[in-house]
Amino acid sequence: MMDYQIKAESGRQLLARLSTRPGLGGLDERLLGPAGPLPHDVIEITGEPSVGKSVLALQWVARAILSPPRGGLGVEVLLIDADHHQPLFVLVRLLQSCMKAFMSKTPGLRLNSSLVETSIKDALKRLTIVSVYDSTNLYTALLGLDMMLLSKPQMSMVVIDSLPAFYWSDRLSGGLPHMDSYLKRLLTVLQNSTKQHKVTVVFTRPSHFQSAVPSRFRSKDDTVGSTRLITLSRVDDANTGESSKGSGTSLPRQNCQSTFCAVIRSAYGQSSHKYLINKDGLTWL
Amino acid sequence: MAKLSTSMCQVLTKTAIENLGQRKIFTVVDVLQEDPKKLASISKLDFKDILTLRQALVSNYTPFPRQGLDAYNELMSNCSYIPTGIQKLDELLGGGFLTGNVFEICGLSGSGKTQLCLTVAANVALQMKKVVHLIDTKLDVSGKRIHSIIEGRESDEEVIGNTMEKILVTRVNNFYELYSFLYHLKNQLVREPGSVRLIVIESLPAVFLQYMGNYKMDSLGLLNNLASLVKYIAHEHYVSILIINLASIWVEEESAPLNDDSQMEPPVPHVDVKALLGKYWAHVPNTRLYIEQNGVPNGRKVTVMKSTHLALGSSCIVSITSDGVR
Repeated sequence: MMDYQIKAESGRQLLARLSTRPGLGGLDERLLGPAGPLPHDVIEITGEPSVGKSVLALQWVARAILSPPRGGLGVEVLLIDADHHQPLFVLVRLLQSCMKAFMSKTPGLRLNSSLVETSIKDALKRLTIVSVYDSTNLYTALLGLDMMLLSKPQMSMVVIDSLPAFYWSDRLSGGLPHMDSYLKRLLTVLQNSTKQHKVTVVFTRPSHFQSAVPSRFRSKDDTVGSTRLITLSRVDDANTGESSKGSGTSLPRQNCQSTFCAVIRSAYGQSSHKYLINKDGLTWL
Repeated sequence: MAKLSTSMCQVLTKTAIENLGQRKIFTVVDVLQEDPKKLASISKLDFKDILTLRQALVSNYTPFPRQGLDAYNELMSNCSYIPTGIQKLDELLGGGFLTGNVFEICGLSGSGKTQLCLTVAANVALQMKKVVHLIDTKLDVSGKRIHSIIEGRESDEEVIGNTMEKILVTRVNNFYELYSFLYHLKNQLVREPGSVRLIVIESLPAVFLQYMGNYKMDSLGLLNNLASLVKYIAHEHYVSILIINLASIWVEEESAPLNDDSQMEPPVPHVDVKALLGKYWAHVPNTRLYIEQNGVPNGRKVTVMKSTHLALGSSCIVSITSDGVR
């Protein structure tokens, strides 16, 4: 006799399972491949301060929310902002440069400034921002994601700028000892509320947010549960062999136009790309 | 972190809170992390009530989502530059201190950090006729100095008096006083929106270095709380916050080469200038300016060290005169 197991499914799960969210193909061919990030991918961006973690994440947001005739994908994005580094100003600049780049590639497309402005406004309508100021906020925002995603079927990407932003104050009130297990816990909550929805999650993590001693929760590589890890670093640090420790607090010396390097690790292999940071965002070399 | 209280949800009784407290469940996050069945047995509430409680906590504490365009329009109509009144610095900053941002000025001692922020406070009070909060942690802000800076720009005694009244100096002795004063300002801003546009914290390390030694972990927690509060004030109420930090010189001796023939030059010690308060804090301000002597008497060089909206490494030269920084 065969055992028939009947799997019960709530209406909400059914809706989530059947719904198709717009894909993110072509989001960033260089880093994420031509197919783009897949649903359920968790992309982690890590690095020292001022290497462009937030800029890279916002560059993806800009590309995602721009409408297709302007060179974007036209999907909705949720941005959970815990670091408050004026993401909107940066985003608007990135939207402009994204359109500029698209215009130079497309012969015959002319955008005057008023068209650019309406396109930006149109793109921003696809963005939802949640500002969080303490860990209770962040935690409930992650738990509430489930409902939010259900109500927005066009949303394909969730970006969290600095997931461990409140680690130290949580720790003060008697939290967990290990940074890795702390991150893991937040990620578990995040994945629980997004697993039924076909969305890609992107989060940033300052590189010092990692346990000095590997905790038992730590997997072999240094990802904390993400499927793709992008490590950003200054190239000149690596050349001189100087440890990158505390380079964020040091002053930029004469060579302030430094080059950077992004290393992408995922199940598909590893690759590295050099880039510069300017007002158009990350420019690949 | 929000502690549990009976006002949060009808089903949450005093005894339930006590029961939960015995198992070290004190905060909203603690409840949300725990398994609902376990919570029901600990608190001796109905399982159904626990689910109601969870729902209420999530919906009450979830931050309000905003559509990108609304947020952008609001930002555009409320955001402005606060001119510092120092022409070259304004040019460097693209117009002045951008509201909604946290700025840090760091420099070695004697580099003119205090002079710079007193001048900015005086200029803002004089030109914009707005209240400036100056939080003095070292108990050494000189009213006379502010007066002489204003005198250098304005001769009318009445205007000088009015301007002096707009610069509100608050002395704080320790970190907790600083935190509670900022909290008070936050509440004041909720009552009277727009009443404050610039807050200057004259030296954060002065109240903070005492925590940096043995209790390093706790100190980061305090700093994290302060950062959250400061960002909340700046971001939600469009206030510019200027924080003074110290810089220190680090000398790292390079190890001597093993064979003498290959390398003729003696090892050069690596000198590095770093802002204090550590790696966590390094990430907090939106913009960090570094002020240093540039060899010319009274001349100072101001460099952008870190910024979300300015070009890194750009700089300007200002000079310190008897009536403030020009």
